[in-house]
Amino acid sequence: MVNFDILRSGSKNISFKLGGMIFLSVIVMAIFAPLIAPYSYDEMHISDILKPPSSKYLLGTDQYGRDIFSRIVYGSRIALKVGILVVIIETVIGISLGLLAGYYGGKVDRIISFITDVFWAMPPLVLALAVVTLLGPGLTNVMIAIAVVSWAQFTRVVRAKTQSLKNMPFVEAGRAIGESDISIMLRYILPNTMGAIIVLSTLALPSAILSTTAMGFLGLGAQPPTPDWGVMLSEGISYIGTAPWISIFPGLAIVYTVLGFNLLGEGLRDILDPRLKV
Amino acid sequence: MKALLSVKDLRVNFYTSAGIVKAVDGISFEIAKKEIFALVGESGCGKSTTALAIMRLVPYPGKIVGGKILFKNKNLLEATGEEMTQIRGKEISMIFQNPLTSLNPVYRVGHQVAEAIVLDNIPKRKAWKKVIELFKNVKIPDAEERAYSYPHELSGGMRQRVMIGMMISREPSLIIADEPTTALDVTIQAQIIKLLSELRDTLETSILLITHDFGVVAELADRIAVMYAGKIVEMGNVYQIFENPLHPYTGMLIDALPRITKKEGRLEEIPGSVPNLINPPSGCRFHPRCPLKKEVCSTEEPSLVEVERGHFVACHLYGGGKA
Amino acid sequence: MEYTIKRLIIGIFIVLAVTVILFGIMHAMPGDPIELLAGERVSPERIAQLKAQWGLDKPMYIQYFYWLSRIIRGDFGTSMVTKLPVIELIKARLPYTLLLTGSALIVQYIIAIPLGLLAALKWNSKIDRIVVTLSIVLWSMPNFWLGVLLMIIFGIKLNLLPLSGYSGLKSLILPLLTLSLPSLAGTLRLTRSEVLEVLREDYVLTAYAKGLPKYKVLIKHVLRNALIPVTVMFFLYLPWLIGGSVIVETVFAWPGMGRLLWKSITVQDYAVVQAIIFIIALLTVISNTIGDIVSAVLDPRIRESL
Repeated sequence: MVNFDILRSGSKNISFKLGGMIFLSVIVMAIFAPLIAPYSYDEMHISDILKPPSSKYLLGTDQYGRDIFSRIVYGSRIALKVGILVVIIETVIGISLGLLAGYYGGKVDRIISFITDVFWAMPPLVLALAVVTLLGPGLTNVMIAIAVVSWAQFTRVVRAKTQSLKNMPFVEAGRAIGESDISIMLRYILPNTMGAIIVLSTLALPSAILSTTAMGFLGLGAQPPTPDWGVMLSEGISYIGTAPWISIFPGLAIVYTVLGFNLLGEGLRDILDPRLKV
Repeated sequence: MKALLSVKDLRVNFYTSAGIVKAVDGISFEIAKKEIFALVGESGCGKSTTALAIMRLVPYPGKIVGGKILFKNKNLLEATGEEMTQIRGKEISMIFQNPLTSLNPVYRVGHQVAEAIVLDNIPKRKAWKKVIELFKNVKIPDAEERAYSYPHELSGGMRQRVMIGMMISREPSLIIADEPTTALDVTIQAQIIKLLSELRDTLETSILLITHDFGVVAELADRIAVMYAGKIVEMGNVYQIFENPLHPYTGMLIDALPRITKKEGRLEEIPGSVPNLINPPSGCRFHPRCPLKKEVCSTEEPSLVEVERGHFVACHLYGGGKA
Repeated sequence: MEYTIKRLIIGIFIVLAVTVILFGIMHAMPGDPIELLAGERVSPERIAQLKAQWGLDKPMYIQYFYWLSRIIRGDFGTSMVTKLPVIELIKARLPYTLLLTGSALIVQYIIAIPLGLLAALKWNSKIDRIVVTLSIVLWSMPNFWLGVLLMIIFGIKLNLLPLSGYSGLKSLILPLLTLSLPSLAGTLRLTRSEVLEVLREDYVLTAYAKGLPKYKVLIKHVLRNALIPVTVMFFLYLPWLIGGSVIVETVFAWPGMGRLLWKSITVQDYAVVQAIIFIIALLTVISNTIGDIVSAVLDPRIRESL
C-alpha cells in the first residue's frame, strides 16, 4: 500500500509531519512509561499532597500526594489502548455494514442506510450514555458504548465507495471468474477503500479518546485509581482554587494527543484522499 | 484591417507545485469587427487560458506575465478591476463549455439573465421583458414559461441557449465562445452553430471561437489560428487553412476529420500526446510527434512567418528558422 | 409542500423506531420497574396485581402500545429517587438546556461564519493558515477541560464571572463559551470548504463574465450557494450541542437536563434516563426534519429528489 510518492508528499505536508511527531512521542511515552515516569502512578507521598510543580514533582502532586507527571505518562497507555480498541470495533462494524449496503443495494441498502442515518443524527455522547446505563459503568463498557455509537461515518464512506467500485471492470472480471460475493467484497473492493479507511480511522482515534476521557470525567468510565486523564481531571475539580495543576495538566495531555492525531489525520487525508469529506 | 481585439505576445504562466507551466507562450493575433476567429488545438494547448486572459479571469495559480491585449485600442492588462467589470458582459462576454455547470443551480434562468440586463440601469420589469425577447431570439420554445425554470429542469441544449441569451443580452462587441458545442449531442451542436452564425449577422458582433473540433471551425470561422503547446503554429483564413494546410500538425488535424460527416472530428486520433509544458520539447515543440521532422527541428525553434498574404506558419519546412 | 409532507412522515417513522429501541433498552435494563418501585416489602400477590394494573403481564407488543400511549400523553412515570413525576423534573430543566444550547449555537455561528469566509477568501495566506490552525486546536479541546480552564481564569483568578450554578445571565457566559468554542471549528471549516468549492464553480465564472461586480458575485453567487449546507448544519448541530451540554452542565452545575441525565445515570434512576434520552431523540428528529425542509427551500434541486 505504501509507496514512495506518498512518503515524499508526506514530508512536504506540515500537518502530517507535526502530527506524526506528536503521534510517535505519545507511543514512546506509552511504551516506555516505567522508564520515563519517576514514580509509579499510584504511589502516594503522604507528606507531599497538593504540591505545585517543582523539580521533585514536575507537574505537582494531587490530593493523595501522587505525582501528576507519572500519572499522565501512565495514562497515555490507557488513552492509546482505548482509542485503538474502539477504532478497531468501529471499523469492523462500519466497514462490514458499508460493504453490504453498497454491494447489494436494494432492500439491504435501504435498511442499513436507515439505521446508519439514525445513528449518524443522534448525538453520540447521549447514545453512549444510554448504552453505559444499560451495561453499567466501567472502562470496558464505555469502550463498547463509544464504538457502538460511532461506526456510522465508516459505513457512509465505505458504502459510497463500494457503490462506485462495484461496476468497475476489475470487479466485473472477478465476478466473471466465479469469485463469491464475500471474496469480491474483501479482495476486490475493500483494498480500494483503504485510503479512506486509514484517514477515517486516524481521525476516529482522537474522537474516541475525547469520548472515553469524557466518560471518565463523568465518573462512568475508568474508575480511580486508574490514571485515566479524564478521571484525573475530574478529581482535581474540587481543588481548582488551590491546586489547579491537578486538572490543567491531564487536560493538556488530552489536547496534545488529540491534536497530534487530528493533524496526522488531516495530513493523511490531504495525501491519500483529498476529496474525502470528514 | 481595423482590429477590434489585438493580442500581442501574450504570456500566461501557471505556478504549480511541480513547476512553472507556460500555458500561453507569446501568442499574437487580431480579430476584426464582425469576424469569427477560431483558436483551434488539443485540450491543454492554452486556448482556453487565452480566452480567460482576455476576460482577465485566469484562475489561480495562473498569472498573465507579459504581452498586451488591446481592445478598442485600450490595453486590458492595464485596466483596473472596476474597469474590467465595466467591460465584461457589456463589451466582451463569454460562453462556457459546460452548460450544466455554468448556470447557478439555485436561481431561475430568467433571473440569471435579467441580472445581467439590469446592470445597464434597466428597470426590473423591462429587463424581464427583454429576457423573454432574448429567449425567443435564441429560439427557446415557450420562452415565457422557460424563464421561470431552474437550470436542472432544462436540457443541455436549452441551457446553452440560455447562456448565449445571457451573453448577448448586453450587446457586447465581442463574444468568446469556449467549446460552445462540445458538451452537446450532435444534432443540438448543429443547431447551436447555426444560432451563433445567425447572431453574428444580426448583432454584428465578433466571435472568438475556442474549439478542438475542426468540423465546427469549418462551419463557422472566417479565420483560424492553430495552437500547439502554448504557441500559434499556423494562422490564416478558412480557405488557406483547409485548402492548403502548411504545418504538419494542421494537416493531421484536418485528416483526422471523418470524411463523410465532417462533424465529429476528434483530435485524439492523432498519434502521440500533448507535451508536458513544464519541460517542453526543445526546438519545435511538435517535433516528437512530427512525421516530417528534420534535424534542425529538435534544436531550433521555428518562428511564425508569412508565406502568403495573411497565411502564417511556424515550421522549418517553410524557412521558419530564419528568425 | 409535497416534500415537506414526505419529510414529516419519515420523521414520524424515525421517532417510532426510536421508541421501539428505547422500549427494548428499558426491558433489557436490570430490574423490573414495578419491583424497583415497590421495594421488597410487598407481597408477590400485590406485585402481580400491580403488574396487571400496568399491563406488565401482557405480551411485549401490547406493553409497548400501553407504554407508547402513556408517553404520548407526557406520562414518563415516576422518578425512583425523588418520587416526583419525571415530566415535572424535565419541565423544570429543559428551558435551561435550550437556553444554553441555543445561545451557544448562535454564538458559534456568529464567530465561525465570518472567520470561515475570511479564511476562504484569503485562501492559502497567513490569515487562512492561522484560522485553520486555530480551528484544529479548538476542535482538539475536550470541553470539560476548557470549562475548568475558563473557570480558573475568569471565575477564580480574575473573579469576574460566577463559577457555577445559575444566578442570572452572567452565569451563562462561561458554559456558553465552553460549549460553543470547540464545536465552532466544525462550522468554520464547513464554511471555508464550501466557499472554496463554490469559488471554483463554473457559474461563478459566468457571473463575472456577464459583468457583475465582485461584491455581487460574492454575495449573490458564492455566499448564497456556499451557505446552504452551513445553514442546514445549524439545525443538525442542535442535538450535538445538547449531547455536549451533558458535560458542560455537569462542570458548571448548570440546572439543565444534561446534568439531570448524568445524575440520574449515576443513581440509576432509569425512568428519568429513559425520558431524557427520548426527548433528546425527539429533538434530534425534529431538528433534522427542519434541516431537510430548509435545505429544500434553499436548493431547488433537492425538492425534486426523495
